[in-house]
Amino acid sequence: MDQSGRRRLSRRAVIKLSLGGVAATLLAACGPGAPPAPAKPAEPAKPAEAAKPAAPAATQPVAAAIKPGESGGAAPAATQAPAVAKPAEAAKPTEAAKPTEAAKPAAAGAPKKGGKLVVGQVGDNNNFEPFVQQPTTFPFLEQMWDTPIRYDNEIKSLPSLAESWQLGQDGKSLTIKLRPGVTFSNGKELTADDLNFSVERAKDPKVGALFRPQAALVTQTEAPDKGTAVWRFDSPFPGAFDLLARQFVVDKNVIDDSDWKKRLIGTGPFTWAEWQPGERSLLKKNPTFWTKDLPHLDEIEVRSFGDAAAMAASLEAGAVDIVARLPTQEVARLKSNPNIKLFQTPVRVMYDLLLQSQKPPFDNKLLRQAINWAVDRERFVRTVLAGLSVPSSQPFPAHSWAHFPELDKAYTFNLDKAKELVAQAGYPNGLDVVCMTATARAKELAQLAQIVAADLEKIGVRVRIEDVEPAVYDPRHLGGDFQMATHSYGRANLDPSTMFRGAAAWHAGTGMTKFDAPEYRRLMEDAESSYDVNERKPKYKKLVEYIQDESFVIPLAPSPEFYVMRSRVQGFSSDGEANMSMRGTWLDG
Amino acid sequence: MADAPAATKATAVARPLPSSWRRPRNPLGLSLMRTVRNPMGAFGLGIMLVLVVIAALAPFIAPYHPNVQHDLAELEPPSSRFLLGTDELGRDILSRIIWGSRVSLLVGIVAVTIGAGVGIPTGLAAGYFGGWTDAVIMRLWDALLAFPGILTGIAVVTVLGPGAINAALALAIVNIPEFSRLTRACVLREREREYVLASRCVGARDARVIAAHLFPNCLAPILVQLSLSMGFAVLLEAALSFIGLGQQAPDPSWGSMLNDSRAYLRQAPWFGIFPGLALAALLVGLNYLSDALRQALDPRRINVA
Repeated sequence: MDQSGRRRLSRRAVIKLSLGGVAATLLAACGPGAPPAPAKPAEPAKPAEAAKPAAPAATQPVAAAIKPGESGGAAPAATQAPAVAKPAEAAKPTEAAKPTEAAKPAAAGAPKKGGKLVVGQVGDNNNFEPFVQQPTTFPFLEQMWDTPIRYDNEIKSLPSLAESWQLGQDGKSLTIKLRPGVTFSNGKELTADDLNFSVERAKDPKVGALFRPQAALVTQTEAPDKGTAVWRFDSPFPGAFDLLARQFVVDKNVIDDSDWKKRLIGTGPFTWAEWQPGERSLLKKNPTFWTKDLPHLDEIEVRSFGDAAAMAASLEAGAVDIVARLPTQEVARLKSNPNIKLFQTPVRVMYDLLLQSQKPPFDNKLLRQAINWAVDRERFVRTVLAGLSVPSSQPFPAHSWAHFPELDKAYTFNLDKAKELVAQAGYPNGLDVVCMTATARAKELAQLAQIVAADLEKIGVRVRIEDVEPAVYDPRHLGGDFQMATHSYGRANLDPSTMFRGAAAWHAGTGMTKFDAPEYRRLMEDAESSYDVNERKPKYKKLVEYIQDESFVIPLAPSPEFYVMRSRVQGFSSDGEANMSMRGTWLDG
Repeated sequence: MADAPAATKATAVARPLPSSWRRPRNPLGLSLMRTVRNPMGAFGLGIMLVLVVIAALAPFIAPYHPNVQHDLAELEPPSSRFLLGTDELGRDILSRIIWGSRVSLLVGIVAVTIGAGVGIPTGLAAGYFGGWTDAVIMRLWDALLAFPGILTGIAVVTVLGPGAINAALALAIVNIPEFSRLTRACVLREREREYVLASRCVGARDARVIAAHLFPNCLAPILVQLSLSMGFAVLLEAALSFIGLGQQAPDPSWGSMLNDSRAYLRQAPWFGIFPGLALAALLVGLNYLSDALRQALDPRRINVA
């Protein structure tokens, strides 16, 4: 019996202890609750917007650059200067201290030589093909290969491998003059044959080039001499400069599909040195790089991480210098760290909602419009994108010349209007729909689905969320096998024709939403028939209005690309597709 | 057949307290009473009871609907309005934990019920009849056992499609071999005992020998395994939800809440801590309960008493 007495005591003790433990943990949990709160108010997305208006002006040079003269030795300087200046502008909106820091290299003008830069990314690159361009290849592209022209992050054309270019009188040919004396990292001289081979290779479906739809418009290639390439098109090709900025040039004689190492020969500032699968890749300075005095760095290491949180921690600990593709929430958190600065490009992708327009219930235009009114873009930007973007109801982001501020408010968050349209569409009692999403593709997509579901519930559209694996999501969203899907499309930052041709969401008939109409095709073709921006602009306005009316793809907000780096990294830049460029990068300390 | 699910429910929740508190006659009742008087057992049972009550009363005690997104209240720290704070879409974490307890308990109970419901009879049959029956059944379960539980779970959910019920079914399949092997081992030991031989000698049929003698005598380890398996199933459900194969958004489950909270651990620690605490409490409760059961059912201790 004394045994039971002991037990009684110990029971009480156990319960006390446990309760005490729970209480202590609760306290501990609530304790740190207060400080993080200030992290949120960094809301005003407007400054970012304010920084942009300058862009449309800067975009015009695409058109102006159609007939450039020469650029010669001045080119490298031109390549670097604007790129360096930009981060200051992009980083400005929220911090006061950063911009000056970012602008310093330009002012100081004395880049330090040498050193090793460590880039972090989630996952390992397993495809060194410069044409496929999967996200894990991004840190390598601009470092190892060159394109005929380069875009800075406001889509301004700058000479690179091409010294000059000239459009034919009929707009159906393009003559590209290559920079003389450029050699591949294996010592071979770059010729027009290499450029022509590269574009022909990109047209081969077996290669799986990301920009194949554009490359396919180059119907014929010629090389009158070794420094001149002539490309011919069947009709005017206003997106040709987007192709020139994306068409990496490979060595014709060396490339071999059976040996991936042979695909690593380029003319870029760095050469491939080593790959430890799942761990890291190492790039070494190319001593024969065609721009004098570049690159500044000796080595770049690209390190693989299992998840973004670990990568962010490494950045804070100083083990990594730059990280790419960090979740927006981590970016928002790291922004307040004084040792870390942010490089924000205007847009990588546009988040959107796809509605299968050929199958019920969304073959009903009124219902599609109802959805367009019922999506709370503001809240999506505020919560999921941490206030680092600007809501948009049109296909192109604010810095594109095909963005029309007067159309911005075509759709706002208006549940009454949406409810009315649902009733008009013939669903007075509401309806059930399924929304497909893929957390594993991007967490933002799944969060977006939940926001949409919660809002649609209020207008009687009951949404079931179907969260599928990327392996299921990809064939289904590409093949139109869904009712509603959260999605993001790329290319909105380039020439409008590139987006309509290159982003599968927008294809007529074969696109993800299967939307097709003679009027849609006519408007698209009409807007591509010329190179003159002033002539094309009103045509694209009509097209955007048409898209807003039909609402088969519902644009929500651009997602900027963030590069978060330690403050010692200077001279970092990005190209038109928001990919990182370390050409002029150097380390300060 | 029918015994198994009934036994499961009895251990999981109600039976011990009211009837056996006094002075039960049968040895099983005695051991259950022992369990309750053991502080560990009482604590475990207490936690389980509280959770069951919370799950049952979820619609009445949850301050908000678990899926309602409170605009402009995203990632709020615990306050009087939101006792445990809010998540990234402005949903009340307390309400989501309360509703999420339903998923955890449902999955635990379904997985264990079906697992034991299939596992125990097959184990009894395999152990008692031996020979071909034994060989076929056991090889089947061996094949299942060859895969780690989480892998089998993922495979089954991939085929059936994600969702809480399918996750429960997957975990039930994971549980079957455990129960079957445990029962078989015990039957092998017991079937040569004198009382079983005696029963057969007086002409009892197979079914009666199994039901009246073998099963009751194998109940002790099975009871322990029931509570252990339930803890395991709850944990595995959280793991499946964590990788997006369990409860589907926006409906809450502790595992998926933990997963969602990962990105916000530094800004909003409460988002991850509270679902984690809830899960830990349930698992601690189940483990204490199974430990106490094991002690109470230990034959050596029964003899001493």
